[in-house]
Amino acid sequence: MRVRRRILAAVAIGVLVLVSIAASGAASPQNPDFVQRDEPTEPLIPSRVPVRRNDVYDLKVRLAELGFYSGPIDDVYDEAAVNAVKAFQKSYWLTPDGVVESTTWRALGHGIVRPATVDAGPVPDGIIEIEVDTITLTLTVLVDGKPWKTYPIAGGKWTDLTPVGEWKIVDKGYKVGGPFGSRWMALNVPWGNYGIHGTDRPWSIGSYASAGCVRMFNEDIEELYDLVDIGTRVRIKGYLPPLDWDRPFTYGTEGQEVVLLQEGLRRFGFDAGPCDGILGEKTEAMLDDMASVFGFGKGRAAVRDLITIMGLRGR
Amino acid sequence: MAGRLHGKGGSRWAYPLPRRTKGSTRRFTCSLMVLTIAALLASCLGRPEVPDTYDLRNVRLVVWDALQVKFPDSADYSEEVSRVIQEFCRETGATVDLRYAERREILDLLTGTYPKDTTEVPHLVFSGEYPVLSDRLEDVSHAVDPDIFLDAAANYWTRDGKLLGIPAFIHWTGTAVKYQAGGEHAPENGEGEGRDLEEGEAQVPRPSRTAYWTDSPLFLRCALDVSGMEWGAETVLQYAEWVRENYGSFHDDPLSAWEHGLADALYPVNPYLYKWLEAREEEGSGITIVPPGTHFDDDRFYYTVPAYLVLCEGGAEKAAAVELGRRLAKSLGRWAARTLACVPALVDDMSIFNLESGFDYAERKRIWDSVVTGEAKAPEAAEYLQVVSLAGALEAPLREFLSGRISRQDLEGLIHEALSRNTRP
Repeated sequence: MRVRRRILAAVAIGVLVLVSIAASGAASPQNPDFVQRDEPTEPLIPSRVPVRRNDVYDLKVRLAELGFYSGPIDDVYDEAAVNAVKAFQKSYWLTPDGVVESTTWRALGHGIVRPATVDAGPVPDGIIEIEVDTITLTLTVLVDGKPWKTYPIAGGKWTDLTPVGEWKIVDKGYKVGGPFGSRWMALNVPWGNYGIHGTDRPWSIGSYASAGCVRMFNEDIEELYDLVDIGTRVRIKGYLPPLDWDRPFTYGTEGQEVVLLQEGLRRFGFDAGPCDGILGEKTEAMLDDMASVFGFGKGRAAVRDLITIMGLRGR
Repeated sequence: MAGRLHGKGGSRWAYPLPRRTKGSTRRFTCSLMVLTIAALLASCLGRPEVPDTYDLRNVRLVVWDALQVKFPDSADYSEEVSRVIQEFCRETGATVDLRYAERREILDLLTGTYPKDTTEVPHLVFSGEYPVLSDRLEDVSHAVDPDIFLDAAANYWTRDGKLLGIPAFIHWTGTAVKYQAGGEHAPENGEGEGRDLEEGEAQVPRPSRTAYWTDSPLFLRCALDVSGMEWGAETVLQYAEWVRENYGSFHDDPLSAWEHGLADALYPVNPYLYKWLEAREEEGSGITIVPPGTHFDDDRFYYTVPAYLVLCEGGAEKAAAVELGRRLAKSLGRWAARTLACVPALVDDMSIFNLESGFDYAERKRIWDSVVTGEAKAPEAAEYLQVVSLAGALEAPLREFLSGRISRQDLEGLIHEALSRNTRP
């Protein structure tokens, strides 16, 4: 009887341990899905060339900086790039196989020194918000609306601009590794997977290199990670992609245009809440209200007129 | 006969007192009772339903206001609302829960389609620019003298001698016309401000190319309601033909046609749109506002009178709602006169319209003439809903006809069909 009890207790403890391991794994995902499209984690393999991938751009930039590559800077992993990688690997006592995996990425970043940041002192009490400026390539932590500390970042390339809008942090990840560096934080951008994360390509900080995410030095993202909670507001301002103002705007429409529409509503006094790029209930109500004030009808034609009133056409 | 003397050592005052007999005491008691009953009846039936003063310290008011447009060079109205409410609370000790409701919600509340059980009905609500009467509205004439308002403003909200809203301003709708300096439609140059216009001097300039919105809720109302015309098949048809002949074919995007010089007039234009259009005009050119003008031979502006409406019955709450409504209406009227070039409802504030609206004398006179002769009244909720429904049903056929895609005969058939589907229940 006593033996059976012991066995049952051991089984229960075992189950508890397994559950807790699974839970801890869920809390700190090692391979976040949200950035797979933007930051591929699989190695670059020469047998599959030519291959087009976002990280090839970073690779070519760095190889060119180090003097191993002199071809066009693009996202195509071709023969010239493979040869440059092999030459680099040889000079760093790595196996010259042209496979770009974590060791090679780490070696490429060797010698990059994070510039010293101004010591802003202890964080004052107050509401923390983040403001990202993709023109100055900076991320500023605001406390009660006042700037506390500013960090350098890398923004999205011209073909994949970082989404402008008012987002919030919806998830956080710890010790992610690879292209995401040591930490990542997901944003609630509705039309893609974007976030703020560290990097294994520190040379790219201060340039337009990512596929839309905000990249930071690992030391910086680690500091930021400890400061902010899930739900923290992140306002991104800066360059805008080409916009399509003739697209339909109905309930549920998502996109960069909707963010600007929401900003326009606010500018004219019809605040629809955060400019989060989703034409939801509140945005729809505010569009109706503003259309009614100007004496317009409802629906698509009214939104078209409001776009003109807000001065958005041509942006 | 001298009365008794009061006080020590003789009196300073001596006055006659009637001698009380048994009969006189009875008569006195009876008359006292009659007087008391009369006073009680008067208090119930007469106008002074709410005493002049109430202790408002424990009153909590729920107020629904509406958001107003922020124009870059003008005061933010919501700041003015906050200031008025803070002052009211400080002076009376009352508390106010302010909510900016959407115009759709306000309309639903007034037309009775608002889900009553899901929210707190406000004590005071802004009517919106296209107001309607409602069973919920309280008479405020006991506390607000209708004579302080322009007749057109007070009449808009008066039914059976009851003032059912506290008017804020007169919201006109017309046609915006572009002009070049010294051009055909150029307005008066400002000389002779304050003088009477000569016969024919304030003639309405007529544009040659007008872009218009058939889907605007004002497209039919401006034409039919201002002249008191029936929403019948014949009048709608006549109006459609008049528009095609005088305004030209339908532009898919009227605002773009205006912006790109394809149209030199826009219809219907209300004060908000006019303000926006005016701000974009280059120096040396400008716009003026003229009445829609229809084949019904009525050159008057269509107007409504936005107001603050009291929805709570008697007592301290009503007294507080009326007082706050009076203050908010005055404040909004002044803002609208300055920012939107609207006529304020208060007679005393007319100088703001004259001096700060930006309109010249001829423009002011055109609007003023409509206000003086206008007989507009807030529609009943059922009537309003029917008009909205009918206008919605007629929009597509009118657009098709004005675009030249269907014939007059087809339009007539579609109008009859729409009318038959939208008759009053």
